[in-house]
Amino acid sequence: MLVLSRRPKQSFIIGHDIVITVLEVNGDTVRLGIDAPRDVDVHREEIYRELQQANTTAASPSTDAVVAFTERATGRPRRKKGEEPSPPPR
Amino acid sequence: MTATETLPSPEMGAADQPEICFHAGLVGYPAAQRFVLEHGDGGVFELRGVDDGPDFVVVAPAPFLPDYAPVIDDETVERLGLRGQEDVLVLLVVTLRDRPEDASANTLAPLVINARTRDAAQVVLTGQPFSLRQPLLAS
Repeated sequence: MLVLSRRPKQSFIIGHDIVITVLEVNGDTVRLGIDAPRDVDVHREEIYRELQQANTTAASPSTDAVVAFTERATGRPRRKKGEEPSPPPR
Repeated sequence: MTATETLPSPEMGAADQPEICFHAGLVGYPAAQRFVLEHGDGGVFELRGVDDGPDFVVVAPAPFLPDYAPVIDDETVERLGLRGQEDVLVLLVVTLRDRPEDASANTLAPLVINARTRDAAQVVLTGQPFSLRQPLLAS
Protein backbone atom coordinates (compact mmCIF):
# COMPACT_ATOMS: atom_id res chain seq x y z
CA MET A 1 0.00 0.00 0.00
CA LEU A 2 1.24 3.47 -0.88
CA VAL A 3 1.33 5.65 2.24
CA LEU A 4 1.37 9.46 1.96
CA SER A 5 0.93 12.22 4.52
CA ARG A 6 -1.32 15.21 3.86
CA ARG A 7 -2.54 18.22 5.81
CA PRO A 8 -6.04 19.70 5.65
CA LYS A 9 -6.74 21.42 2.30
CA GLN A 10 -4.08 19.29 0.60
CA SER A 11 -5.06 16.73 -2.03
CA PHE A 12 -4.11 13.57 -3.87
CA ILE A 13 -4.70 12.98 -7.54
CA ILE A 14 -5.42 9.40 -8.59
CA GLY A 15 -5.04 8.75 -12.29
CA HIS A 16 -5.78 11.91 -14.26
CA ASP A 17 -9.11 13.01 -12.94
CA ILE A 18 -9.82 11.76 -9.40
CA VAL A 19 -8.94 14.32 -6.73
CA ILE A 20 -9.18 13.50 -3.03
CA THR A 21 -8.87 16.43 -0.65
CA VAL A 22 -8.43 16.26 3.11
CA LEU A 23 -11.00 18.76 4.37
CA GLU A 24 -10.82 18.39 8.13
CA VAL A 25 -9.25 16.23 10.81
CA ASN A 26 -11.18 16.06 14.04
CA GLY A 27 -10.01 13.50 16.61
CA ASP A 28 -10.33 10.07 14.98
CA THR A 29 -12.49 11.33 12.09
CA VAL A 30 -11.12 12.55 8.78
CA ARG A 31 -13.43 14.33 6.33
CA LEU A 32 -12.47 13.89 2.69
CA GLY A 33 -13.77 15.55 -0.44
CA ILE A 34 -13.76 13.42 -3.58
CA ASP A 35 -13.97 14.79 -7.11
CA ALA A 36 -14.36 11.99 -9.63
CA PRO A 37 -15.83 11.61 -13.11
CA ARG A 38 -19.52 10.79 -13.17
CA ASP A 39 -18.96 7.22 -14.28
CA VAL A 40 -16.83 6.44 -11.23
CA ASP A 41 -18.94 5.24 -8.32
CA VAL A 42 -17.68 6.14 -4.86
CA HIS A 43 -18.85 3.97 -1.96
CA ARG A 44 -17.94 3.60 1.67
CA GLU A 45 -16.10 0.29 1.68
CA GLU A 46 -18.30 -1.48 4.23
CA ILE A 47 -21.44 -0.51 2.26
CA TYR A 48 -19.85 -1.65 -0.98
CA ARG A 49 -19.04 -5.06 0.56
CA GLU A 50 -22.55 -5.46 1.96
CA LEU A 51 -24.14 -4.48 -1.36
CA GLN A 52 -21.83 -6.86 -3.20
CA GLN A 53 -22.95 -9.65 -0.88
CA ALA A 54 -26.62 -8.70 -1.33
CA ASN A 55 -26.35 -8.63 -5.13
CA THR A 56 -24.47 -11.92 -5.23
CA THR A 57 -27.08 -13.59 -3.03
CA ALA A 58 -29.89 -12.24 -5.22
CA ALA A 59 -28.29 -13.12 -8.58
CA SER A 60 -29.60 -15.86 -10.85
CA PRO A 61 -32.15 -17.57 -8.59
CA SER A 62 -33.39 -21.04 -9.51
CA THR A 63 -36.43 -21.27 -11.77
CA ASP A 64 -38.32 -23.10 -9.02
CA ALA A 65 -37.70 -20.23 -6.60
CA VAL A 66 -38.78 -17.66 -9.19
CA VAL A 67 -41.98 -19.56 -9.96
CA ALA A 68 -42.81 -20.04 -6.27
CA PHE A 69 -42.17 -16.40 -5.46
CA THR A 70 -44.08 -15.03 -8.45
CA GLU A 71 -47.11 -17.16 -7.70
CA ARG A 72 -47.02 -16.21 -4.03
CA ALA A 73 -46.49 -12.51 -4.76
CA THR A 74 -49.05 -12.10 -7.53
CA GLY A 75 -51.53 -14.82 -6.64
CA ARG A 76 -51.44 -16.31 -10.13
CA PRO A 77 -49.28 -18.67 -12.18
CA ARG A 78 -46.17 -17.25 -13.77
CA ARG A 79 -46.41 -16.90 -17.52
CA LYS A 80 -43.88 -18.60 -19.68
CA LYS A 81 -41.95 -16.32 -21.99
CA GLY A 82 -44.06 -15.23 -24.95
CA GLU A 83 -47.38 -16.37 -23.50
CA GLU A 84 -50.29 -13.99 -23.35
CA PRO A 85 -51.33 -12.85 -19.87
CA SER A 86 -53.85 -15.23 -18.34
CA PRO A 87 -57.40 -13.85 -18.26
CA PRO A 88 -58.51 -12.51 -14.91
CA PRO A 89 -60.31 -15.06 -12.72
CA ARG A 90 -64.09 -14.96 -13.01
CA MET B 1 -36.09 14.40 -6.54
CA THR B 2 -38.50 12.07 -4.74
CA ALA B 3 -39.40 9.02 -6.79
CA THR B 4 -43.14 8.67 -6.42
CA GLU B 5 -44.05 7.38 -9.88
CA THR B 6 -42.62 3.92 -9.52
CA LEU B 7 -44.90 1.57 -11.45
CA PRO B 8 -43.49 0.60 -14.84
CA SER B 9 -45.80 0.75 -17.81
CA PRO B 10 -47.14 -2.71 -18.77
CA GLU B 11 -45.22 -2.79 -22.03
CA MET B 12 -41.92 -2.57 -20.18
CA GLY B 13 -42.18 -6.29 -19.45
CA ALA B 14 -43.04 -7.23 -23.00
CA ALA B 15 -40.73 -9.02 -25.38
CA ASP B 16 -38.48 -7.14 -27.85
CA GLN B 17 -38.04 -4.17 -25.56
CA PRO B 18 -34.88 -2.09 -25.80
CA GLU B 19 -32.11 -2.99 -23.44
CA ILE B 20 -31.59 -1.26 -20.14
CA CYS B 21 -27.98 -0.18 -19.73
CA PHE B 22 -26.21 0.06 -16.38
CA HIS B 23 -23.11 1.88 -17.61
CA ALA B 24 -21.20 1.27 -14.38
CA GLY B 25 -22.40 -2.32 -14.00
CA LEU B 26 -23.71 -3.56 -10.68
CA VAL B 27 -21.69 -3.85 -7.49
CA GLY B 28 -20.31 -7.38 -7.57
CA TYR B 29 -20.94 -7.58 -11.33
CA PRO B 30 -19.05 -4.68 -12.91
CA ALA B 31 -19.30 -6.20 -16.38
CA ALA B 32 -23.07 -6.74 -16.16
CA GLN B 33 -24.31 -3.70 -18.02
CA ARG B 34 -27.02 -4.79 -20.47
CA PHE B 35 -30.32 -6.22 -19.30
CA VAL B 36 -33.86 -6.76 -20.55
CA LEU B 37 -37.02 -6.78 -18.43
CA GLU B 38 -39.38 -9.73 -18.83
CA HIS B 39 -42.76 -10.73 -17.46
CA GLY B 40 -44.13 -8.04 -15.17
CA ASP B 41 -47.41 -9.48 -13.91
CA GLY B 42 -48.36 -7.87 -10.62
CA GLY B 43 -45.19 -5.80 -10.52
CA VAL B 44 -42.82 -8.81 -10.51
CA PHE B 45 -40.20 -8.69 -13.27
CA GLU B 46 -37.26 -10.76 -14.34
CA LEU B 47 -34.23 -8.67 -15.21
CA ARG B 48 -32.29 -10.82 -17.62
CA GLY B 49 -28.61 -10.25 -18.22
CA VAL B 50 -27.57 -10.05 -21.86
CA ASP B 51 -24.15 -11.61 -22.71
CA ASP B 52 -24.35 -14.27 -19.98
CA GLY B 53 -24.75 -11.69 -17.24
CA PRO B 54 -26.60 -12.63 -14.06
CA ASP B 55 -30.41 -12.56 -13.87
CA PHE B 56 -32.37 -10.93 -11.08
CA VAL B 57 -35.94 -10.92 -9.88
CA VAL B 58 -36.97 -7.30 -9.39
CA VAL B 59 -40.21 -5.72 -8.24
CA ALA B 60 -41.93 -2.40 -8.67
CA PRO B 61 -42.16 -1.00 -5.13
CA ALA B 62 -45.75 0.26 -5.27
CA PRO B 63 -47.68 -3.04 -5.00
CA PHE B 64 -45.48 -4.30 -2.17
CA LEU B 65 -44.16 -1.26 -0.28
CA PRO B 66 -46.65 1.52 -1.05
CA ASP B 67 -44.98 3.99 1.34
CA TYR B 68 -41.56 3.65 -0.29
CA ALA B 69 -40.49 7.10 -1.47
CA PRO B 70 -36.75 7.26 -2.00
CA VAL B 71 -35.08 10.61 -2.60
CA ILE B 72 -32.86 10.46 -5.66
CA ASP B 73 -29.80 12.66 -5.27
CA ASP B 74 -29.00 15.43 -7.75
CA GLU B 75 -25.88 13.67 -8.94
CA THR B 76 -27.92 10.63 -10.01
CA VAL B 77 -30.57 12.86 -11.61
CA GLU B 78 -27.87 14.53 -13.67
CA ARG B 79 -25.97 11.34 -14.45
CA LEU B 80 -29.06 9.52 -15.73
CA GLY B 81 -30.44 12.61 -17.49
CA LEU B 82 -33.71 12.50 -15.53
CA ARG B 83 -35.82 15.47 -16.63
CA GLY B 84 -38.81 14.86 -14.40
CA GLN B 85 -40.87 12.34 -12.46
CA GLU B 86 -42.15 10.77 -15.68
CA ASP B 87 -38.61 9.67 -16.55
CA VAL B 88 -38.02 7.87 -13.26
CA LEU B 89 -38.55 4.15 -12.92
CA VAL B 90 -37.48 2.52 -9.67
CA LEU B 91 -37.17 -1.25 -9.28
CA LEU B 92 -35.99 -3.24 -6.26
CA VAL B 93 -33.71 -6.27 -6.43
CA VAL B 94 -35.29 -9.26 -4.70
CA THR B 95 -33.41 -11.97 -2.83
CA LEU B 96 -35.34 -15.24 -2.93
CA ARG B 97 -34.98 -17.79 -0.16
CA ASP B 98 -36.20 -21.35 0.33
CA ARG B 99 -39.65 -20.17 1.35
CA PRO B 100 -41.23 -17.57 -0.96
CA GLU B 101 -42.58 -15.63 2.03
CA ASP B 102 -38.99 -15.06 3.22
CA ALA B 103 -38.08 -13.09 0.09
CA SER B 104 -36.63 -9.65 0.73
CA ALA B 105 -36.09 -6.55 -1.36
CA ASN B 106 -33.11 -4.23 -1.41
CA THR B 107 -34.65 -0.85 -0.62
CA LEU B 108 -31.29 0.71 0.27
CA ALA B 109 -29.85 0.32 -3.22
CA PRO B 110 -32.71 0.50 -5.74
CA LEU B 111 -32.27 0.28 -9.49
CA VAL B 112 -33.03 3.72 -10.90
CA ILE B 113 -33.87 3.64 -14.60
CA ASN B 114 -34.48 6.50 -16.99
CA ALA B 115 -37.64 5.20 -18.70
CA ARG B 116 -37.00 7.46 -21.70
CA THR B 117 -33.35 6.63 -22.43
CA ARG B 118 -33.01 3.26 -20.60
CA ASP B 119 -29.89 4.45 -18.82
CA ALA B 120 -29.78 2.99 -15.33
CA ALA B 121 -27.77 2.76 -12.14
CA GLN B 122 -27.97 0.99 -8.80
CA VAL B 123 -27.99 3.86 -6.34
CA VAL B 124 -27.06 3.60 -2.66
CA LEU B 125 -29.41 5.84 -0.69
CA THR B 126 -27.13 6.89 2.12
CA GLY B 127 -28.79 8.69 4.99
CA GLN B 128 -32.26 7.28 4.23
CA PRO B 129 -33.89 4.67 6.50
CA PHE B 130 -33.85 1.74 4.08
CA SER B 131 -32.57 -1.81 4.20
CA LEU B 132 -30.61 -4.26 2.09
CA ARG B 133 -33.10 -6.92 3.22
CA GLN B 134 -36.61 -5.50 3.56
CA PRO B 135 -39.17 -8.32 3.97
CA LEU B 136 -41.46 -8.21 0.96
CA LEU B 137 -44.48 -10.40 1.63
CA ALA B 138 -46.29 -9.79 4.89
CA SER B 139 -46.96 -13.19 6.46
